[in-house]
Amino acid sequence: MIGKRHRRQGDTHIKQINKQNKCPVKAGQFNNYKLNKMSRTFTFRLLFKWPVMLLGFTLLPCCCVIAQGNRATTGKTDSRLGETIVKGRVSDVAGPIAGANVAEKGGKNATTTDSSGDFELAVSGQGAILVFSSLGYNSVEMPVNGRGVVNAILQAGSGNNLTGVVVTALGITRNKRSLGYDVGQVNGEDMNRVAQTNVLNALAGQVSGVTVSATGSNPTSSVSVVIRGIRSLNSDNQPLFVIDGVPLKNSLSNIGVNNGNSNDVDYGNVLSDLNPNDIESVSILKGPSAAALYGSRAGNGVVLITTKSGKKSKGLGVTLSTTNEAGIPYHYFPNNLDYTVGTDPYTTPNGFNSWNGVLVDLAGTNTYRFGTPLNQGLNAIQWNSPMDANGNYVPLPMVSHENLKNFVQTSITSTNSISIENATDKDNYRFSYSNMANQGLVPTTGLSRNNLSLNIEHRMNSAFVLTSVINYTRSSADNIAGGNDGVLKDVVYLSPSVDVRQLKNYWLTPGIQQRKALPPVGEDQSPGALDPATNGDDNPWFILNQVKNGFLRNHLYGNLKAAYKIDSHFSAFVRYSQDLYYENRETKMSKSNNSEINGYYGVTGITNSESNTDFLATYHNTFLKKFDISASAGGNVQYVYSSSQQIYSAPGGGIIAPEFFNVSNISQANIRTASAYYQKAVYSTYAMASLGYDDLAYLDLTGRNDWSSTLPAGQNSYFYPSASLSLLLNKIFNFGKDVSLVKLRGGWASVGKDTDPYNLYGTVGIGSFGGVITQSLSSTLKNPNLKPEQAISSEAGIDLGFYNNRLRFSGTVYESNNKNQILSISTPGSSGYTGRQINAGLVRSEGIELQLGGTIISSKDWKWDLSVNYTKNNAYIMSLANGVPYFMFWSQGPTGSWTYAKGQPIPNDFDSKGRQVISDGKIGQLWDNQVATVTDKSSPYYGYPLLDNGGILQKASNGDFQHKIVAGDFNPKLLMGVQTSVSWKFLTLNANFDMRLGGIFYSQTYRYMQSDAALRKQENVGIPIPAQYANNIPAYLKSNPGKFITINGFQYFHLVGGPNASKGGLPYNDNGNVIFPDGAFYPGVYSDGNGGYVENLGDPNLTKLDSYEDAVTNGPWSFGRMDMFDASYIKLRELSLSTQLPAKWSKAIKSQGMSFSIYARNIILWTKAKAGIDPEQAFKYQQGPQGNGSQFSQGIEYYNINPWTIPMGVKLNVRF
Amino acid sequence: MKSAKRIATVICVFLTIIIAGTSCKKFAVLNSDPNHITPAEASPDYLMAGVLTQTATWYGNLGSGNMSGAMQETYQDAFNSIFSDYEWDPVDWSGSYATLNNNKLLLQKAQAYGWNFHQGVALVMRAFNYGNIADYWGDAPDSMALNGDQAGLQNQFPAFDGQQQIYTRVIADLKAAIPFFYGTINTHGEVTDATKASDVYYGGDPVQWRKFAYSLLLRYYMRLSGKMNVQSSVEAIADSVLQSNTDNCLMILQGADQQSSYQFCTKFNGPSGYNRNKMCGTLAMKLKSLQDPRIVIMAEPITTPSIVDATKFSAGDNTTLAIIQNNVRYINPAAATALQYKQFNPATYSQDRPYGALATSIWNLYDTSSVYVGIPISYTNYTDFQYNINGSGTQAYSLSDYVSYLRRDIYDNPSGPLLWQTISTYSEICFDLAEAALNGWNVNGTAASWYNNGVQASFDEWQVFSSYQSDVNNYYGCVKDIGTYMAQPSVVFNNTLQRIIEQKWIASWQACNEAYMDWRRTGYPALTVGWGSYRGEIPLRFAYNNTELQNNSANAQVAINALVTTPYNGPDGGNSSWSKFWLVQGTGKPW
Repeated sequence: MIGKRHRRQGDTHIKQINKQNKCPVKAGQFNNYKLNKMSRTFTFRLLFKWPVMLLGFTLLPCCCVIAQGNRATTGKTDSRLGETIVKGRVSDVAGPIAGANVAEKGGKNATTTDSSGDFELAVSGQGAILVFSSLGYNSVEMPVNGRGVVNAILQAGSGNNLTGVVVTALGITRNKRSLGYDVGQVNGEDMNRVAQTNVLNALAGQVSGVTVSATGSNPTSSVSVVIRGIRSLNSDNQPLFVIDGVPLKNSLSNIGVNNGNSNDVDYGNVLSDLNPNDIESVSILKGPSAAALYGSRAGNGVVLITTKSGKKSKGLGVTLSTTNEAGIPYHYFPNNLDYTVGTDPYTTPNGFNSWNGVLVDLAGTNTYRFGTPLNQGLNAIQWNSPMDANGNYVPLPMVSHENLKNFVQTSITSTNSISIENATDKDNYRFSYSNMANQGLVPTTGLSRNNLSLNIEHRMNSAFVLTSVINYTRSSADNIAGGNDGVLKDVVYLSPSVDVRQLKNYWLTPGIQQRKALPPVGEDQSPGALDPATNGDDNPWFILNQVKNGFLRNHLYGNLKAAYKIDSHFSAFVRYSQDLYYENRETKMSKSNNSEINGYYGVTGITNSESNTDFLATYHNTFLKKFDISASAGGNVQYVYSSSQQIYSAPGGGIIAPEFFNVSNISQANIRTASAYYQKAVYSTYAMASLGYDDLAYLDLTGRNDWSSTLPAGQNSYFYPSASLSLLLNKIFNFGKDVSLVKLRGGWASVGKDTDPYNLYGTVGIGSFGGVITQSLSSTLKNPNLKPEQAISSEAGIDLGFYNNRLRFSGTVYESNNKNQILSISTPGSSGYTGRQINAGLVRSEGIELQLGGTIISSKDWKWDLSVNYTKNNAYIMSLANGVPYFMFWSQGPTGSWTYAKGQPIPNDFDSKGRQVISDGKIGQLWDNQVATVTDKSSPYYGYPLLDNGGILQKASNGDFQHKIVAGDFNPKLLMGVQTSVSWKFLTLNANFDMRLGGIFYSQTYRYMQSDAALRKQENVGIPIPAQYANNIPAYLKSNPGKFITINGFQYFHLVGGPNASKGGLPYNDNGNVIFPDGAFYPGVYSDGNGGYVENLGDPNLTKLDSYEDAVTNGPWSFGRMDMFDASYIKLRELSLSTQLPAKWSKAIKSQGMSFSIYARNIILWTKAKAGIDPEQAFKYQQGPQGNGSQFSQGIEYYNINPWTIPMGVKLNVRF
Repeated sequence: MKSAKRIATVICVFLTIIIAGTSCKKFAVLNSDPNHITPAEASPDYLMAGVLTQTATWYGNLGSGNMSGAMQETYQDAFNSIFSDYEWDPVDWSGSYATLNNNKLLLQKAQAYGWNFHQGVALVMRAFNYGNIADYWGDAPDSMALNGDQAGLQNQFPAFDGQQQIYTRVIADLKAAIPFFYGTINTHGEVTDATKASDVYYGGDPVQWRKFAYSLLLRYYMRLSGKMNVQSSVEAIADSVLQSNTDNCLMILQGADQQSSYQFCTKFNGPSGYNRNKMCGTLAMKLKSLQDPRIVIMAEPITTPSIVDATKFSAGDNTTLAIIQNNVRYINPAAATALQYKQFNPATYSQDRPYGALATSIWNLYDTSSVYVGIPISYTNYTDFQYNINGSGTQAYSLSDYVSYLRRDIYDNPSGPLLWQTISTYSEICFDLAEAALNGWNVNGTAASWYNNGVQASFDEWQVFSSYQSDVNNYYGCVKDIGTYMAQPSVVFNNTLQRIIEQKWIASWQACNEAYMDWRRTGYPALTVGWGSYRGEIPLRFAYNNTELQNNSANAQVAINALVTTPYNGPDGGNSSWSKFWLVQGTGKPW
């Protein structure tokens, strides 16, 4: 019964099933051909014959359900039973449907399709009627009519998001109803509606429980995907990405790579190589029970990406697509624009910043603002002052310039692709080419990408199928703006008195010395000889054009799979997959760059390869009519190899000849090299069984054992099982006709995890001190007894559908317990090591995900879909190692984030009754120093800030770790996403909102800029003193000490004063010769030296004044709170309007159809904090504080000052 | 059955493909680190090189950096409130313990190989580093330290030893080291070419190491002399210490990269680091008062000297503070008084700019005393870069025509004939012995002779009357030869400890670690602080850093509780830089 080829013969009969739609139906004639001819004629067929053949097979799959049968073959009658065996395949527009029901109408015979969508059913006779059904699809009835092969194509019903089929672990297509766990789904269309340079951005807000965040808004910025929150304390928590069965390396380790001093670069994650146009669907396996079969790396979930395969095509099967997008900046970081940098007071004859009574602007040599006020009609000798006839520099008006605005450009992204696809019964193929060209917001930056993809399937006979997917991507960039420390920082620090546009001619001496915004040098003209070689900030245009970080990555990934269907019950496949890339990076810095004054040159070559060879044998059968069993067993061999080699010039060493960037141009003494190699292997076997009963209950069991090379012998084998159950209550109980689905599901899984290579034994590093060879022990203690980590998780959920699934609800609660985490913790340096690896602890992650969707309107012309998702996730440290009370995520200056394990007392935290608060272990605290205050409760000044002798706020207890206090929590109170789609006839409007409420973040941008007085808000932060209190400020402050004196909350601590008299500045003599109205003070008291206190509240005889610019820059290095912000935001992330263009238009160019859409991103961005920082970027990549490898620190942000843009684009799709 | 057979065939074929397609390597091979060597493979020579360079870099950078500021020899303006305003943050000692951990491996290997020289070096370096930890922090883990690789909470969280116990072990280690250096380089077969290259202090010479070990003993005996009787100990070793400048324990700066170069040179840093590192008024005025020629190797003359000259201004003009003519700046005394300016004078400095006073009641200062001008200590919290009426001073680049930078042709270099990290010098030894002799101890010389030797050694060390004689001759403000210098009443030995320590202080230029220890022990030189000082006194110790407090809190708290608080602690609590540890408790010094 194997190997019969009868259904490939003869003509094909096509019968129209759909009675409402008058679909054009054409019958075609297939030619007979033999297999051995195939290879010879393949090319011919590919180019000509198949499209022609398939013209006769035309259908509009979106509106028709058709069935095809083979008239030439009659059903075979089983002589023993007197029954007829009917075979066939059930598919939808995307391909075969696994698990579809096939039943004989009115009879007892029923079966479900296998993973290839194929079925075989004994029916009572040749006149039987088959009923094809699958949840999420409209049922179809088809008479057998004596045929032996009956194929059915099902049309998707409404509510596809809740039911329908999804791709699950190992690429197995399953009916969503049969799953005991939640799988997030995004179809390719949703990923593609709006162009993204990194396709992962398109996942943002689409699926509950999935957090997508970009490190920045540069085209090469890495994108982090975290599913169901932090689970592991020692990794970047990135899920495993599997593309057509190929696991792809996706670490965030390409960020912060230092190439020369102060040149951190984000090279982006490798997943940005994906071409969005090739994506058919994305499945997100959130919980370990879904992902258990993927093993170690699936602990953080799995993102399964299925690329498009060839489909039957009307016409040529050619699709052309073009997307063009412009990102127009509209919102700029609010920096101080009203004062030039410089030192106050800004002018008096013979005073400061002046020369012989002429004001000189020293903008290029200073960082503090609150120098000369701008736009006040003042003139000064500036860097670009011309010389008059007498040889004197001419003072020019001091006016401000919006340099950030004047520096950036509109970003443009253009994506053009072509795909050719087609399918026959024997073969299908899809070839695509895509080119993406991006011009960044920052001039000279951008990204270029070329993708080639080939997806072929060949059915050699009815049993043996070969498939292969091969993707090649070439990504490159001539210049990546150097991470967050990039050129925009130079721009924002440029004095607003300097117009950045006038600095474009950036060479003073080409190749040798950049031009800086320094005042002209002259013995009688300027206050000092300012040598551009040693003074002044970098010219942004110089950085842009002469500090170049380029890369080129050749990335090849794909697989070859041979599947063999042994009989109707047994099938098996073997597959080899490879993910391989070579990346070359090159950094060039010209001489006179401030951080590398002699220039820099460095090249890095990176090789990364991962191969997986796996096989899977599957058995599928039905028993007793109602039981359906599918069991599989398989194994995998994973081998990973990576290496990197770097050649670069020593710090400060630089290059010899200017502007010649080659390794030969580094002197022998200054050449530095580095190399590193990593390899690891994991061998695995696994098995799974899926048992279904009468389409109302499904039980899934899996088990897997891994052997990892990275763990010590004896500990390197670990087994983990999972189980999940799905119950369709609506099939058991009758809830009435309005209830279409009531499903309960639950899952439990355990997943083991290994570690990185070479994590067992301490090492000695070889270094050099000058020319002397040195050897030193690693400062992190490794652990030769590491055990595998174990994550045990469980989830339960309910799915409901009403009114034929027009109203859909899905809810999931989950908990995950990660045990034996392999953690690096910090240890006292006096133990000889600053960190050690432990194998302990329990981290619990728990949460709830809700999704509510509905088709609100569905009429002939109108359709309105709305979907809302809600996510809440909390992570807890339940226990750590003995003697380790807390775990630190990051620390930065005065602040940091660390969490005490459950049960540990939290220092300095007392409840209302004064009792020590015991930690519940919840992760999220941001800590800060305490402000020293008067602690003597009997003092009238109790609670007042205790100032130092300069009148400055002091840290309590020297900023000791044990005396810090919790300033806030970075966890959001609410995360919600809303997707909506409105269609009217051929027009569709899609919108994607999301919002976050609650939680705080710490802005390092604000800390740095505040300490240089470069923030706009610093222009006026003094407490306004009412006129009647002008001569009695202390009385006013003491009238409301809680508001004016004692310290609570965030932002600026209380300050009285201003940069000038009109803004409340007090008379102050800082430099001796000028009394200038720029005095300010912090309200509080200072010690009188004898145990008493002196009021620092504004009495001119007692108060320690400071210049405003000094006072306003104090604090951020001692206290974090003034740079912490509420992270709430609401975004209208995407808005698109798409339309199918009228048929006569497409016919005019002989196309099969044209669609057109316009879209915009980030149209609304509302932030509560109004700080000019996108809270979504309020996290920061870092090497783990304890050497934990790469991490995303939550609740902290660093120089996300790219202007906000509203990218707008148009997209045109034409099918031929 | 047919299908079962087929299944078996298919599985066999698949397994064959898998096994053939993947080279199954042994896990142990796969997981052996190709990027590093193991401790077993480490070489004692290169471990020693690491220990010596790390130690010298840490100690030397402190001596020419923060301690130089604390002892008022140099001044860092604009940003650095730690350096000259004494706003000391807690200091992390992890680097010292990391060095000690490497040293521990060195000692273990040297013992295993029976290599005497390396054992001796490891013992000296253990003593030296623990000595520093006790000197700067006080109580610290010692007997329980460096055991983090062993099981047990007592090893992961080391208890602190008392400062006194640490000093006891330092002395024991130094004594234990000395026998390993018996003989000469020719009798030490373990000293190979690799050893000589790795010994960046003495090139593998055990004789010099022996003298150095004795000198460290002398240093620590003198350190403890206020707390215990060390007379016989000192007398016993007085012959064995460094004998001349050729015995000095120094690490020559290689200048190959940032870490092996002079820390403030602009070749590997932005210019602001070098620009900010200026002369401090305390030392500059002292040298001027002694007509000391050593200033020519320290400082760069100011670009524009100043003169107070009323004749350059029209009568009654009390607003024009200064004018510049022919590269000389003239200061108008009438305007200066009106604008509350006066000449810097170290004797009246603490009254002119009293610590903690209101800004309105202080005098601003200028300095017309010399072409060498230093900034008075803790001059302001912030605008000290404008000192000496420097209107064009900027915070970012700290340029000044009116204050002395360090001598540019010496100190703005990665390496050079006068650039090294100083561990110990002959002049220090001479002054130690002078102090011992002054105490009446028998150290083979009088206090005067050791004092004179010490001054002479310092002049020799800095090549003042050799390589730099012409610069000496060109500077009007100094004597031209050593004899004249020594004969001055302000220099000639007057049988006081103060004079010994003052000269020792000057001799510790760019290596102020011992000067700070001496000041703490003796109160000399008598130093005051200025208006911008953080707490009104010079701090006494480094506060324990958060790396220890957060990871070893219970043990650290015991040590903190043992500290004696002072009125200068402010809101710090016990773990303050102004708390007193055992060494200064009950001595009445320095303040």
